Amino acid sequence: MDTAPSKERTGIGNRIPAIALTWMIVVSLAGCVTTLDKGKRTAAMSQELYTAVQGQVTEQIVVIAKKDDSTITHDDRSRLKLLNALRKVLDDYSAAHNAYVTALQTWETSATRPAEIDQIAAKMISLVAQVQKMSKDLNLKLK
Amino acid sequence: MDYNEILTNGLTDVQADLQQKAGASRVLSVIGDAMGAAAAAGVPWAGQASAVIKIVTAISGALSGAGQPAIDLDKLFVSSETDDLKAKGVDVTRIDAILGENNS
Repeated sequence: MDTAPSKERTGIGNRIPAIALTWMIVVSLAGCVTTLDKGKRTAAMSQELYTAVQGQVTEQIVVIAKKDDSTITHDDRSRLKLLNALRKVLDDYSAAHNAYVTALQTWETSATRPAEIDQIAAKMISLVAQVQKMSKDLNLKLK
Repeated sequence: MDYNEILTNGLTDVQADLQQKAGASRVLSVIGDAMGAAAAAGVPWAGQASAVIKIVTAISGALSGAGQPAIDLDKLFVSSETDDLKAKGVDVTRIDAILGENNS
């Protein structure tokens, strides 16, 4: 018996979920911001996109986790394993996003662009690339 | 290298570009390269180029911020996925138990 959901069962295709692509583009600009106002708008979009994906992942994990043990199937476990891996990446992304917002707060109070913004943005884009791949593997129906 | 790799690598390069305008221009260039690779590989997704351009246009519009209210940074923090699960009654130990793991 295989251990991962097959392409046939999940209908996985080559299409990148539009939201993941949008998210990728947004964070690619996070390190490019030259004004605090643009940084704020980038962070606002990052928050919105992260929250959308988070909602889907939470919803799916909760459904499996709240099942009675006797009703949890092999497919449930296979999918939960992928979702749990994505959970860890989302945890890292939330930390990076919050660090980005904190850096913007520093920028706001000091009127000086913090140097760490570029490093944080690089971390964010690396994590979104992972989210993008994992979302595709899970065939998440991102809205 | 497939279109997904081209997109990811290209956008990582864009991140290093500190000029917002140049960065946005590079995003379009990277997407164009990725679309070309997708078309060459016969990937149906390439047919969705117009949708991607709409996304980029929407992002560009949002980043311009014209006519939008001021953004309060205090409201931009997010909860972790683990905390979101806890808030909905699922602890990581429950996930580990189902998966037969003891590391979270």
